[in-house]
Amino acid sequence: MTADRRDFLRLGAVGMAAAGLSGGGLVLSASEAAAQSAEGSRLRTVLDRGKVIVGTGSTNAPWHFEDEAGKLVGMDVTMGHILAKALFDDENAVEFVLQDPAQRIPNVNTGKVDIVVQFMTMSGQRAQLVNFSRPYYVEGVALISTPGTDNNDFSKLLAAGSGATVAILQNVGAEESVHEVLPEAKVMQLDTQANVLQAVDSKRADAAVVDLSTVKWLVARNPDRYYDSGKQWHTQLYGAALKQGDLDWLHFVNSAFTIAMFGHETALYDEAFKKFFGATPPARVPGFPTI
Amino acid sequence: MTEPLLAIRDLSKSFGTVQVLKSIDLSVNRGEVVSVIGPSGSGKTTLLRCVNFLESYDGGSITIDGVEVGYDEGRKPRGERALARMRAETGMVFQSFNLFPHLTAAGNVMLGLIKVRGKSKAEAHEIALHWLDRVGLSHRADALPAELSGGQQQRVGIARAVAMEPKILLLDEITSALDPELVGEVLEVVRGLAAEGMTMLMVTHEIAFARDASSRIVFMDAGTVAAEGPPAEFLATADDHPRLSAFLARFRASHF
Amino acid sequence: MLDAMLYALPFLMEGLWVTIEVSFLTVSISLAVGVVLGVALIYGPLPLRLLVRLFSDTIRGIPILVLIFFVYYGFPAIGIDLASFWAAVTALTLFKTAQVIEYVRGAVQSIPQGQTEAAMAIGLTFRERLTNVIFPQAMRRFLPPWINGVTDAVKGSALVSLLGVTDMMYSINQVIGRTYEALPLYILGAAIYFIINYSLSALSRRLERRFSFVQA
Repeated sequence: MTADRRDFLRLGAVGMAAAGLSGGGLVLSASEAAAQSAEGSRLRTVLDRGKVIVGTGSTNAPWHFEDEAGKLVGMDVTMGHILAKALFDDENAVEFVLQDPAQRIPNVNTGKVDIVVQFMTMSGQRAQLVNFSRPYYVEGVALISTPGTDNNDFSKLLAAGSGATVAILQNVGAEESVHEVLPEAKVMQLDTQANVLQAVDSKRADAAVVDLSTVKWLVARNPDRYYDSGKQWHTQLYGAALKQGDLDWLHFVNSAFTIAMFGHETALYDEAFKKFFGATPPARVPGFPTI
Repeated sequence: MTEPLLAIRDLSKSFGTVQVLKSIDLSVNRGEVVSVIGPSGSGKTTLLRCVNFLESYDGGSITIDGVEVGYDEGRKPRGERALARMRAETGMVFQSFNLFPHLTAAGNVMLGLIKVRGKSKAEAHEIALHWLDRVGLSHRADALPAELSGGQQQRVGIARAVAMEPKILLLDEITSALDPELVGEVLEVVRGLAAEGMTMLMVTHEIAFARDASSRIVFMDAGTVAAEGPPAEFLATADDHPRLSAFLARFRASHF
Repeated sequence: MLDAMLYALPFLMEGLWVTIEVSFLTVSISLAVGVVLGVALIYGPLPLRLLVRLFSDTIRGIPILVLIFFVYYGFPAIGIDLASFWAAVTALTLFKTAQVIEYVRGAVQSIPQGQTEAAMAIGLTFRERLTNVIFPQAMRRFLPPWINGVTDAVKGSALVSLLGVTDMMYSINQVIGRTYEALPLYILGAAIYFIINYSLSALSRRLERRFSFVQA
């Protein structure tokens, strides 16, 4: 804990003692007061532990991946640092536990991790199993192509009609996803994200449907290799997952996220936003709260 | 009168509901060669296997030099180490040789010498060569059992048992699995050992050999000792025992 | 293609080390425990034999993947909360132990009873019989399926990546997650696994030769 925080707590304790004496009520120490409000809550556990344990992955840029130096970075990872700062005034008081996407819900529900931040789309089904934090990013879906492909722009793709081939990760709504914006295009469903991009690289497909953040990341990293077709659609909300039944922890996380995105602690968030998506969040305006 | 080396008294054993040994009395004195003959199912092999406790026995006693083989004073079965020590005093040669296939002829003979008699490898090797020479196989000391004929394997088996200097040698139909032309070389070795005073209890089908080499022949039938005596006397009075004469008649028929 | 592989190589080294660690722990512990339990299964008193039989049949009936998740998520219920690395190693080791028990049983029971009797007849104790007569012969029948099991263990160690353990498989996915170039990396990964297992197979052939002697 920093000196400021200790002083603040001491002040609070003194203040409460004074109030208690004058009110003729019980005198509580600061930590007892905190304990009373957070008894049995994960918030208490995390504070006592001195670091927060965040479940995330390490195999998906720009959300959670290892950079050239082997350091775990990404937007999800940054949210973890933001939590650490809000808890302990030290963004490094966080331990990341690597997990397969299949473990996102089990790991938080069995308490193996305090919170999961792993590009998790908020859905009604999932919300019945975990508590979602407020959304920290709105993901979309976009088209990516290469500079060398003839039909790499959205207008050209649309004009090509059934002559355009679009690759996408195989899943239930794949065909509909593509036909929403390119009704006549041929759809090539492939088993992994990497193979989808491979198809675009080798020009077997004119374009691919991938996450908007992935398009931004790849184009920013390899502008001579990838090309943003300029069309985005769909929106999905990314939220962090917490175990149900813990109001204090959930509200704390929400407060921490909201402060980092709209309040006075926006430095970490903005830096990551710029680094991973190549964009700046809209300006924060004092006055009426729009959050 | 001196105590017999091996004393079997009132021995009984059953496999489940079938009683295979019924109150057997049999003694072997030091230096004696006792042959046990009889039809299959008479219990003769079981009897032999009780002597070194490869089979347990239900009633009666088997003692070697006065010490009970399988059980202690309280009729509790002997523990692992005690049993192993007892078995080191009896040597056994098997019908199917049972040589250790991963060891050479010398290695087979040396194993017991090193582990049980505590000899060094060099000493054991010397002793092994001596006994292999006695059975006429010193030139094959480094051969693996798979490279030896049946007769040669059995002779190694004999050397392996005898090298341990047991008090008594148990021979379980040692020529029954051999081709006829190989039987002679094995019986030669046994004859030589007998001549040197080795105490032996031998279950055999070789009636002629039993007659020539034994001090006594025992005829077993259906779990009991039906007849017993020195060879000449035994064969002469065979007709007094109907089952024995029937048994010998079959033998004579097949051999003469 | 080649430069993608060369670029990735250093990042895979740490993962490779984890793969080797996991495989080594799994194989060595399962061998030690499996042999002891295998001997217990053959020579032990009835209650012990039943227990080992129950253990072996149960474990071998569960897919490794289910076992891994069971150990990681289920064990905490009985008070054993393991980190992902140790949960994965435990699960893999349990699985392999059950297999080793069966290899031992098959190998030892294939040795004729006469061998035990001959060993008894010269006065060897139980332990001496096992060490000098039974095991040397059992080796020949034990080694081929066991070596097979070892290469399976190395291949199966890739499953630990599903618990987020940074083995070689996971390391490969990490690099792909950054560069999006899957093909060169999968080829490189396959090549490395192949090299490991080929060396193991060569070693096994040498071992088998050492223990081969024509059975009489």
